[in-house]
Amino acid sequence: MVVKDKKALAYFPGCSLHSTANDFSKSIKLLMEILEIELKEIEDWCCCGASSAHRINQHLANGLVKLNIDQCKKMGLDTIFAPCAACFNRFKVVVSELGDTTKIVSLPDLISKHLEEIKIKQKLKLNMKIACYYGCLLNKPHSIFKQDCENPMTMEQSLTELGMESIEWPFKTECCGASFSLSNPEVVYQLTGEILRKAQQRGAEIIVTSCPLCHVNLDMRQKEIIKRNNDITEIPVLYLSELIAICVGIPIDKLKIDAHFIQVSKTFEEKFTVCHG
Amino acid sequence: MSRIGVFVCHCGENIGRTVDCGKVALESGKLQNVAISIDYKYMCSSPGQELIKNSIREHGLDGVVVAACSPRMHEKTFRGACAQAALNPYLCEMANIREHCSWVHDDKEAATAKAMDIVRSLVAKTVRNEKLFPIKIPVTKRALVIGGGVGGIQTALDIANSGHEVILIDKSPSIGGRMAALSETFPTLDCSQCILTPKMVDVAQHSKIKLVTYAELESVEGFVGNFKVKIRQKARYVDPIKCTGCGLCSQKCPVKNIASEFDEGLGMRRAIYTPFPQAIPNRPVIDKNNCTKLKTGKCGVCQKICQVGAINYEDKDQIVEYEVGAIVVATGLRALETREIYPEYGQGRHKDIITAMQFERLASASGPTLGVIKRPSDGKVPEKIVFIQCAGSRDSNAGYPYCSKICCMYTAKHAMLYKHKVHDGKAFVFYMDIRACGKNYEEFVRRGIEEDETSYLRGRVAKIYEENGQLVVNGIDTLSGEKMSIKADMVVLATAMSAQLESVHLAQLLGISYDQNNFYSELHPKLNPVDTATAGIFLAGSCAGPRDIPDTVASAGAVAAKVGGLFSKELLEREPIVACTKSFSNMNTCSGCFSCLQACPYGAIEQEIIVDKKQQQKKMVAKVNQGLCQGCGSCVSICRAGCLDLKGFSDEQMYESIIGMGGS
Repeated sequence: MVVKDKKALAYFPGCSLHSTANDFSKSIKLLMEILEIELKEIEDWCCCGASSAHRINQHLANGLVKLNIDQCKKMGLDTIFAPCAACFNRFKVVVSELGDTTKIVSLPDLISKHLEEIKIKQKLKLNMKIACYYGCLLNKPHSIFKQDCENPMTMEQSLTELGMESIEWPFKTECCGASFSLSNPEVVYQLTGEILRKAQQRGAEIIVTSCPLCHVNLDMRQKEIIKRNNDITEIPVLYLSELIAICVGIPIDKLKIDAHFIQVSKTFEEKFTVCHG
Repeated sequence: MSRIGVFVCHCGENIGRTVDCGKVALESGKLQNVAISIDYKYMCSSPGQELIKNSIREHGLDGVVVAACSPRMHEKTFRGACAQAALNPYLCEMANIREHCSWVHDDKEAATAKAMDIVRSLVAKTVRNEKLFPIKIPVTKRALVIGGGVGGIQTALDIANSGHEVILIDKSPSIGGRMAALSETFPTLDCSQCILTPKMVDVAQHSKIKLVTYAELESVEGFVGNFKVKIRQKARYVDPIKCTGCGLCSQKCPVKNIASEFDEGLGMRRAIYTPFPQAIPNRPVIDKNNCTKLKTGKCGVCQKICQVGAINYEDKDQIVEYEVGAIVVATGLRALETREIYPEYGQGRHKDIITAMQFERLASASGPTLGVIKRPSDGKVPEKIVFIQCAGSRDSNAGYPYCSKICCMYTAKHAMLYKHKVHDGKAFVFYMDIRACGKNYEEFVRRGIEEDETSYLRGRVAKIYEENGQLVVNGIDTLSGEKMSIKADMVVLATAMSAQLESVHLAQLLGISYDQNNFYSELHPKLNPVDTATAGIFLAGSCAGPRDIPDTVASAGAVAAKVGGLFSKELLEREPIVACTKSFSNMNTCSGCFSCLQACPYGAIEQEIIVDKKQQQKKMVAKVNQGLCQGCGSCVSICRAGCLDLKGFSDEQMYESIIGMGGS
C-alpha cells in the first residue's frame, strides 16, 4: 500500500550525520526527496545523550532527549526520524520511559513502511549477496522494542521485496566494538573482524548497515583488520539508504560513496541490473 | 429481645497485645441484646469451645458473636461448636478483631475502641440472623475425566476401582498422552511404555470405564453432582467395532509423508493411522485434512483393502450427551517451541537443533530411529551434544517467568541415556540452577555428572549457528567467567512447559479460573491443590502447572479421593449462603430485566415463567439455581428492583451492622 497521507517528519541528524557520516546524511536527503517525504530538521536540536551522557547521568541523558522532543512538538510534528542508530535508541528508550506519544522511526522502519512506493519508483536492483548488519542499537532492549531483537529481519524483508538477495547469518546483531574504536581499537579489530569473517564465510559480497558507528568500524577499520587476518578480504559497506537510493535511480556519483574507506569496485555499477515491473 | 453471647478471644498475644480484650468483653456486656460476654486466651481451643457451648446451654443463647480472627480462619470451628450445643450454626458470627484490628494497629486505646465498633456491628447483625439449613442436592455418581495422559488414566482407574463409573475422553485417537512418547523415566530409568501401557490396557478393559477417544468437550451445563456434558465424537471414518486393528489400511495408504505428531515430526505417518503401535484403542482413524479420498473423492484404497468393511467415508462428527456428577480436568501441558521466543537459538533453521520431546523420541525404542541417537539432518551419530536448560523458562521477557520444574531432571536423564548409547560421546549441559528436588533426584543428577561424565556449565547460551556442518554454541560459563564456544553435532533445548493452547477455551467452557500463564488455578495452592473454585470440578496433573510423573500420579489419586468423597453420599450438602428472590407482600417484584443474568459469573440465574390463574403467562422472572450459586452477591448488588437477597448477608443484616458500627 502506498502511504498517501505523508506528514512531514521531524528530522534529528545528531552529531554524526553532520560530521563523520555526512555520506549517510547525503543519501538520506536525496532518497527522501525522491520519496517526497519532507524532513524538517528539529530547530535548535541538541545532543541525544548517547555514549557518554546516559552512562554518567540518567536524568541529564533523558532530559536532553526530552528537550529535542519538546522542540519537535513545538514544530507541530509527531514523528521523529533519527537515522543514527544510537540517537534512535535513545529517543525510543526515553519515549517509552516517559510514556510520550511521539513516534520514533529508524531508517529500516521507514524503508519498510514506504516499500510499495519504493517498488514503484525502483529502477535498478543489486545482484550481489548482501549481508544486512543491524548492530546492537536498532532492536534492543527487548522490553521496549517488543520485536525480534536477536534475529531482526526488517532489512532482509525489504531487500527481498525489492528483488535482492540477502544472506542468512547469525552475526547481524553482534557487537562491533562501538566506541572502543577510539579508546581501544584492538577490541574493534577482534569483534568487527569476526563479523566480517562470518559474513564472508556465508558468501556475502557487500554489507549493508544503518548505523554510522557500525559503519566506522566496518569500513574505516577494515584495512587494519585485513592486515591482521589473512582470511578476510575487502568488502564494501553501504548504508541502507545508499543502496536504496541507487535502486530508485539516483546516480552513484551524486552520493558520497567515494568517501568510504573501502571503495566499491570499478565494476560496482555493472552489478546493478534494470528492474522490470 | 435477643439473647446473644459475645466471646472475646485474646489469640494468645495476637489480639491481646493491642486490644484490651477484658474491656471489650466488659463493654459488650452492656450492649442491648447481649446476655453474656466473656474473654478467654484461646477461644478456638477445646476449653474455649466448651465455654461457648456451656454458655449457650446455661444462658439459653439465641445468637453467638465470637470476636477473634477472620471468619476464613475459624468460622467453621465456632459454628461447629454452636451446632454441638444445638444452636443453628448460622446464628453464630465472627467479629474480626485480629486481621482487621490488632494486627494492623499499634495504639492500644484506639484499637480497643475499634474492636468495640466491630463487635457492636456484628451483634447488630446477629440480631437479624435467621436459621439457615444446608441445601441438599442429588448427585449423579459418574465422573467425566478430560484427557487420557497418565494423569487422566490414573484418575479414571482410581475412581473406577472405588466402584464408580467413569467416562474418559481424549482428543487424540489414543490414550497415553505425553508419557507414552517418552523413552525412559527419571530417576529409575524404567521404560516409560513398560509402566504406562499396562495401565492403558486396564483402562480399556475396566467394566466401569467408558473410553471415548478422538473426542472433545463441546459444552457443560449444570452444577456439582448434576452436570450435563456434551461430547463431540470426531468422525473416525473407521468403525471401531468392525475393525480388527490388522493395520493393512495404514500400510497401503498412499499418503505417506505426514509428519507424525507422536514422533514430534521426526517420523512420518499415513492419512489413515494409529498414532503408535501400542495405541489404545488400537483402531486407526482417518485424518480428514490429509486423506485424498475425503478431499478429492478419489483413492479409496483403504476401503478396498479392508476385509471387514470397517471404512466409512460418510462418517460424521457426533454429539453425545452424558450426565455426570464430577468433572476432572487432566489435559496436561505442551512443550514450547523456542522459535516462538528465542530465534537466536536457531530452532527451525537447523535440523539438528531439536526439542527435548524430539530427543525422547530419538532415544525411545519405539521411535523413528528405533532408539539409536541419530541427528535428523544426515543420520550421523552425534559425537558431541549440547543440552540447554531453561530454554524459555524463568525468563519473564520471553513471557515464561516460572520454572518448568521437570527439565533439570529430564536433561540429566537425556545426557545419561546418550552416554549409555554412545559411549565415547560427550554431553554438555548449560544450566541456570540444578533443581533436583525429589526423592532420589539429586543422587540421579550426581550419577550423571560422576559416572556418565556429563559436563555441567552454569550459564546461558547467547546464540547457536551452523558452521561447516556443525553447530557452534556460544555461551558463558559464569563459574569460571569464561566465554564458551562449543562445536557440537546436535543441540537439545529443554523448552519451557506451557499451558495447552486450548486451555483458556476449556476453562471458559467449564467455568473454572486460570492464572496469568493459562494454567488452571487451584482453589487453594496448598490446602486444596486439586479442587477448583467451581464445586465438582477437579484438576489432575500438569494442567495446573508443570508436574513430573510422580506428582501427576499423586494428584490423580488425590482427585479420585475427592471424587469418592463427593459420591459417598446420596445427597450433597451445600452451604446455604446463596442468593434468593425476596417477595414484598407476596408479590414478586422482579421486572425481568435480567441484569443479574449478565452479572452472575456462575450461570446460576434461571428464567422462570409466572402464570396467572388461567395459566396465562404473566411475566418472566429471575430465579436462582441454588446448586450453582456460589453466594458472591453480584446479582444482589446489580438488581434494580431490589428483589434479590443473599442469605446470611441480607440487606437488613448489612444495614443493621453498619448502623451498629456507628454508635453505642
